[in-house]
Amino acid sequence: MANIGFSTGALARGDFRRGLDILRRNQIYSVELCALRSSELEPLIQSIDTLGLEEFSYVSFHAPSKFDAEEEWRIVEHLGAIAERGWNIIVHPDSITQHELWKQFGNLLLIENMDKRKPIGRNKPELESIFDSLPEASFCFDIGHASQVDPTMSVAYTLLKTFGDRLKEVHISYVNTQSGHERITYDSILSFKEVADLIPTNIQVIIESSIGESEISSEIRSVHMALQSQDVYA
Amino acid sequence: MFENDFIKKLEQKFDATWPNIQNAGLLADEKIHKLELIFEKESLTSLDTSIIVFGSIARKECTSGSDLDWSFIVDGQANSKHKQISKRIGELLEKNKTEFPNPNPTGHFGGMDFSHELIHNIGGDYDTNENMTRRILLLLEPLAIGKNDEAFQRIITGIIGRYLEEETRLAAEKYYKIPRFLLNDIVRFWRTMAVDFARKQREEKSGEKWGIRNIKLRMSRKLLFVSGLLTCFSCSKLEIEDADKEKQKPKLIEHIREYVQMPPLQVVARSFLEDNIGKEIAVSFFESYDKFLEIIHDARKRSVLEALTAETAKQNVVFQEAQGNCHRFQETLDRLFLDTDCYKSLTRKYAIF
Repeated sequence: MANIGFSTGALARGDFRRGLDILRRNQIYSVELCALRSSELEPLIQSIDTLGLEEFSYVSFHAPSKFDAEEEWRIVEHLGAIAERGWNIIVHPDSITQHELWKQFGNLLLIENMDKRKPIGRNKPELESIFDSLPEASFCFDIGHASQVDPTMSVAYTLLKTFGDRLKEVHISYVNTQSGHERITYDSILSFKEVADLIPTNIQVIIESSIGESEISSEIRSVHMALQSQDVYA
Repeated sequence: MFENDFIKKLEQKFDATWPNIQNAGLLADEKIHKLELIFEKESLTSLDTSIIVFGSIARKECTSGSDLDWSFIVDGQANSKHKQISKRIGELLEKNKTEFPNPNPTGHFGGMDFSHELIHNIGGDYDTNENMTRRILLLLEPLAIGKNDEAFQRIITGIIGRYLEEETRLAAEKYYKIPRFLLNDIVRFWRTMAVDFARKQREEKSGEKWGIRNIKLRMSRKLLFVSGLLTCFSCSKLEIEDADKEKQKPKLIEHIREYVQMPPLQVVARSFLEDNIGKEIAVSFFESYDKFLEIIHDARKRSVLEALTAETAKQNVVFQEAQGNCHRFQETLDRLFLDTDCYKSLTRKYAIF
């Protein structure tokens, strides 16, 4: 399997330095820098040169998930610095109002499929209309979101079949009824395995489960069980 | 042991010790820890699901012969994988069956339960014997295993809230009323257990296990009824803070929720302390219960009781010992509920008619 990394927000919400320290301590060198709240964006971008990210073999960036239409141009401007580094930028489709602004990122822009709370971006027709507006954009497949939207995994299957050629990153966690990202559960492993063969082995996997440092190794083990042919708790 | 140990306080108050109760509590804690280790590594639960155990382990009355009743409860999106989790729980317990013997195949537990049925089907045609039993045991002897108890907490809050919704008034002047709908269901549960005891003897071959079932009905099953009654009675000591019924409800829900998460013996001990029950009754109650645990913890005596039928029991020395203890327990309950000033009028008004 390709590299497995973590979102800094999953390990240390709102504290990217601590998240990176935890990853280094655990010798994990794939990371998604998380600026889910717009207030986190500027401090994170301004700190990037001081974070020692050259150690990491994969770095991506999660754009804020909620912002005003007036803020949108400023956010896109800041994200330009990320695109210059050639890092993937993951964005929630419901946060975009002016698609033209985002086109400049080309295939570095990764559109993520959404959980069931969101009005758009949850399934094939909803994502198709977004990719129509952003034809060069890539796809970030959140397998936990897809499983929450449809526990039979039909939506997950359809998303991977339809947008598989755009796929550049996978988010993984158990997404509960309240749309919280939890430790990967026994049932989610069983569900994820059903579509695992549709995810190419070289795709970057980012764990979004909200866990403590002591749970990192068991969570990685769960990811292996979910996305590989390894037996579940053999 | 229990964080706020009312049994210990009662022992101190009356200069008494009930070693078998203490040991049963310690043994239960050990078993609960082992269960947590078994389940934890496989992430079987989430915010939407919990594993609940019932019976002697949950009551903190574990003895050498205790088996394990459990349920995988779901308060979330329907998912066919829930069945596989339930199956996996069964497999894990099967692997550890020496430590955790399987639930009685004719019993109610060892599978999935769903919040909607538990909360909505109270009374009426859809409230089957099984649904009622599951619901009331969730209130009288539940224990969530592991970190994920959110689904469990939501479900018991939902059940209590549902009972209170049906009350036309929650207040009686300065204090809360007894929640009659809940109390009636607890009474129904107790009577159902007693009726089902008789049915089991008729339907099962040769009245197997009559001896142990008879003693358990008269002690541990009856204790559930007692703790349920005392939980309901305790509401009448709770002061009203708001005139509006909807605003009165949260305080009462929280009060009942606190009680139903205490092991039954702790509920009894707390009530005895708060209601100033005299030494004679309190000590007699706990001594007889302590004696019951001593008898069923003794592997030889337990196996003797398990082998007895209704016909063979009466001549048996072990049964006579256990039966004598049951009589003492019953006499104590008679005095507690029919003679004490704090409970006799409540018993007459709410528990009989």
